[in-house]
Amino acid sequence: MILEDQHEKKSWGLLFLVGVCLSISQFVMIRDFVTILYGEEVVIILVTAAFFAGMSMGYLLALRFSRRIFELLFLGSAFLHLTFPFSYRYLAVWMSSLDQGGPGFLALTFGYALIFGSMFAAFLPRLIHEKSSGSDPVPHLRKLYSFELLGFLAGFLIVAWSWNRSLDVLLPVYWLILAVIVQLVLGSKGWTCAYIGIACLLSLQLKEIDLQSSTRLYQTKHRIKTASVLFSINSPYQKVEVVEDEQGERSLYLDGLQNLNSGDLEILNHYIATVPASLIQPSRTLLIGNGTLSSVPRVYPFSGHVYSVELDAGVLQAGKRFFTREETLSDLTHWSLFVDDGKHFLQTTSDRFDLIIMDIPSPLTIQEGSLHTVEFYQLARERMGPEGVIAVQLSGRLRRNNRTPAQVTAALARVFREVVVVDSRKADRSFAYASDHLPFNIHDLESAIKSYESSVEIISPEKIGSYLEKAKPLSLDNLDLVFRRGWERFLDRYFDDD
Amino acid sequence: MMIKLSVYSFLTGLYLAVLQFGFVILLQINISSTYLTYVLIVASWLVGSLAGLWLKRLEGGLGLVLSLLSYYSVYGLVTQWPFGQVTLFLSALGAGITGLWAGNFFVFMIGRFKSVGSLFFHENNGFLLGIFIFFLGFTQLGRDFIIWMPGLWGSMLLILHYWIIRSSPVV
Repeated sequence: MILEDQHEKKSWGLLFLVGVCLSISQFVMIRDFVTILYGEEVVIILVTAAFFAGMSMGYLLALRFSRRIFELLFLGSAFLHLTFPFSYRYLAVWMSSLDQGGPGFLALTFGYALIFGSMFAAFLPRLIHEKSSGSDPVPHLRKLYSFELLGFLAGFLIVAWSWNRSLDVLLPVYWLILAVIVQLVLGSKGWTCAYIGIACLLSLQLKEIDLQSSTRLYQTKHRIKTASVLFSINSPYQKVEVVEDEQGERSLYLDGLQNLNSGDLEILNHYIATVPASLIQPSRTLLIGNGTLSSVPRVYPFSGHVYSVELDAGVLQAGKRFFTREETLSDLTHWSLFVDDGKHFLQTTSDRFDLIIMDIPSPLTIQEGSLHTVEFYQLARERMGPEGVIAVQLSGRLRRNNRTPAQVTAALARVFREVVVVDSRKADRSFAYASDHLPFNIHDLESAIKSYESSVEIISPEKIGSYLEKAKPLSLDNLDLVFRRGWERFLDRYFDDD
Repeated sequence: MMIKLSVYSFLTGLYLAVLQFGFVILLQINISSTYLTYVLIVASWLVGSLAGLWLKRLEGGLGLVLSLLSYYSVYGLVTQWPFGQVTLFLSALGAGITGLWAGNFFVFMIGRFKSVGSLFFHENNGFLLGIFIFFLGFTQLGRDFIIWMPGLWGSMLLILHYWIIRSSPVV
């Protein structure tokens, strides 16, 4: 009776820890593979689906192996977990060096999903089956599944604790929990000690391994031969990495997608921040996004007060360390920083702004897309003064089509009476300034821009309509762009032989 | 008979994925995209699932009906009073109530399946497909998708649910 009771409690503990591991492994796999494959929403969905496919395999095979085989497979899988994150990153590097296309990377993703998810998924059905042979399975399901769910919740908390830190903080905790599971499943002190020993050795080197394997990915898969990863953390929203090349140029990568580099930053800041701020001389300027904070010193001399709103504290961390020197911000007494969602900030503030600068990533995910929509611009308009201006970078050059720049401009034109677009060859993108009544004219704009770049084209509010004939405004009911553009990029990257 | 049960489990997984992602998007587009929104919805859903494992009287279709009612209540709440003091709390409660069926579903079905693994397998496959369908549906149809899809899918499941009760006794 006592033995049975102990066995029961051991099962509960086991399922709890399995739940913790499922939660952590889901986070690690999705973050790392999204970064390897580059993080458009299409990729995020694909990797998430791969993880669930791995779990399905676990459920399917849960009862098909003998206890002995199951234990051996589990042990193998647990030791493979000790090769995270370098094994799959180096495999991706190797595949890139062989110019492997989509099938190879999909195989890698789904193959690792088996290691990440299937072994953990198999525990619950196996234990329910073992305990209820011949009897009612419901009481066992209730107890065992409850412990797994509790574990999953606990894992969620551990993951939250690891946010804005590097992977070398989370993985040792994960391995420690796995070591306990190894002991509970096999009851072999030898294997457990071996596991803990290897885990400890790896933990000591983990920070280096993490940065080194990421560096190799950037050198090979991103084809930046002299890349060196200086910074890598998982924020609550994405993997934030700073990469430096041999010229010392730094780039910010979010989920493996280049957000900006220090060279582009100069041009981008000029058009999105300096030009409108110098023309408007706003009393209140709102910067949405701009996690590097590099626009702040640009608009500050022209503004009465500058408000920065950035969603991701991880990006701010990278910005302060690598892109904007602390001393350039320390004396700015009329500057306030808020860590918040731009949409939420606008909905809850009672302030009115003369200039809103949208320095956010291209609409490649639903979340980013929602900040380029008609609905968002309507909200921004409600928080702008009568001659308030919103400045938006269009993620490409405006052409007469239905691509991103045209859809974003169409959304602006749907909400504001006047939209003027600056098409910069130097920046390789266009910038829009929209307002109900622009407080500057085309000549003012020309003189502010031409000294910086002579080849720039200004598309006046009167001519904008002709560019938007084929464009459907981006809106919450029309986010097809997020899917279409993500899918095209994914196919181009992995399935285009040219 | 097993095919019918497998299909029902698969469709339930798909329904639960649509509801869970629906909750997240509803809150993200109406209230905030901060991580707190996501954490609150997922944690409440998990707590609801846990409670659903233990609550009785949900199996006769009540759990399914409650999941729909609470989804649409939250929909109304976040679109009408997005910044009410208790909106986020009530939304989390709504996600928890919807999660009840995510847990209770397994209690309802486990006695009808010969293999426990198959039950989880089919439900999980449905959830997997639901992730794709939600993404495609929302990016193509926008808010119409999150208004109509859960209701239509839930109603169809409810019919299937009574059919299962009538024709598939617990083994």
